[in-house]
Amino acid sequence: MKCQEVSAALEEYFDGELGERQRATVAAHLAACEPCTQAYEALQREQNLLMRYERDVEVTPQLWLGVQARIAAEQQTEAAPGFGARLRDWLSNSFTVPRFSPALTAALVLVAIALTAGAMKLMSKHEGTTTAVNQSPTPAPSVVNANSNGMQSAPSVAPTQQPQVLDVNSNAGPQAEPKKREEKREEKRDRMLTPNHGARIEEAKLNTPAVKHEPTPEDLVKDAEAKYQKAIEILKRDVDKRRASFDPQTLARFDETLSAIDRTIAETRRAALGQGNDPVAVQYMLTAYAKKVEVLREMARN
Amino acid sequence: MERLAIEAVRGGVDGRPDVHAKPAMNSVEHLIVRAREGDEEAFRLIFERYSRPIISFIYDMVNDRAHAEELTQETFVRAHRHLAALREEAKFATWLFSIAKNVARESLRTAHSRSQKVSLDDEAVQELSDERPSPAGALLDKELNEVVRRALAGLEEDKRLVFTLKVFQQRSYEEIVEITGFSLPKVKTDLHRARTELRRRIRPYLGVQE
Repeated sequence: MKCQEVSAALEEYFDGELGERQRATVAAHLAACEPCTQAYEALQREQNLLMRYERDVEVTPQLWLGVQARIAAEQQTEAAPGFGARLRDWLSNSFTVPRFSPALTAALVLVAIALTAGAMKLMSKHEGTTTAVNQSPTPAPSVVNANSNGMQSAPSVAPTQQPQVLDVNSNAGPQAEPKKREEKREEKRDRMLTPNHGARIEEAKLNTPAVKHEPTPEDLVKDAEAKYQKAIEILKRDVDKRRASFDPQTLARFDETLSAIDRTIAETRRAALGQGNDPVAVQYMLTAYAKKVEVLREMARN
Repeated sequence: MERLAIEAVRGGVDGRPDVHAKPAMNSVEHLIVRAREGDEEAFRLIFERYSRPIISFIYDMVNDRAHAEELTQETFVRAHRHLAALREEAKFATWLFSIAKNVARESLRTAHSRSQKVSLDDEAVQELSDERPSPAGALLDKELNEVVRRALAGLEEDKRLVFTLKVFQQRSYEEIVEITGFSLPKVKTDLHRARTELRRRIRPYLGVQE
């Protein structure tokens, strides 16, 4: 071995990173070459000097107390998560989904999540408004418990107000005064911005054809749902192609899981869309869709 | 002192098992299992074992005591939070250094750290080491500390990271690759350049031992 080669490998030799044979070769060279030995000794001196370096820092008891306090605070927060925390968790879990997917389904799921986030934001914004404005003595049925397949049960929802869409539908009759009609039209426009207008969007569109309305929470939820359905369709096609390669037991478990998720989707969908787009119910419905995507993706990967 | 801390982390001064030790009960793996089950004392013992190398490593990266303390706490809080996700208990140290590296690098992105770095420019370091007459006698540790501290701070971040992990924390190249996410050739190149740079800056003091 030449001095040049030893010089190139000297640091690795010093760090103990060379293989057995190379280490022996360098050691043999060092034993016979003074300049290379001096270079090696210089590295040692350098290391010794650096090991004398003392930092202006120490581990104090306060350091552990700080760690302990922060861990305790975290555990306390985890023990009682609020709606915001649950929503955050749900969103972060959803965001982990696309990592394993083919590009198209990943894109669809991402769009679905973005739409959901938009819908949630819009819903929570208007939820406050409608609660404050529409005080009704007769509470509408609360959101049904969607927990039939092991999903965490949706927290009870404060009684929603009797949907005002009934007023819009009520038979005002031809005898209604023009002023009253005008008021109702204004009400309709207001409801365009609330989550409780339900299926009246189409009617509103007919009455005001020239006005291009902003996407409502319901639109966003529908879009998100459509994107999930599209992703599911693509993945299902992939899985179906590979069904023959799965063992019967796995396949049976898989089908059972999918059926359970489908039931959950159906139930949460009824709860979500039938109760004026309650954000919690919508959240659980879209979580169920995300779960289905996840299960299909797992199968597609196996 | 630093050497002892490193040896403590690596499990023994000579690398052989201590016949007087209680192996299973005090092993890091066992402590991790206990900590995962919510045993606070086990996590405290982990902290005791690793806090010194971690705070030293972070200090070398951020060059600020208060900041290093704060980031060390953050490192252990994150480690505790994600302990369940650790798959190879045997690689706990590498994993912990990875967290510390992330925490330190995140903080270096902040304005606070940037301003710290600006005050430690290359010229100031050079000036300090070059203006001194070549020391003929013993060098005060305090002076050496200052020289090394400034020399480290003058290194480019990637080089400082690799250099600190190798020279002070005595991590293997493979571990450094895992901790930093750099390729092996980059680790070797950065380490070599960092050593060359440091050597240039501490050269006047190297003569003391000759």
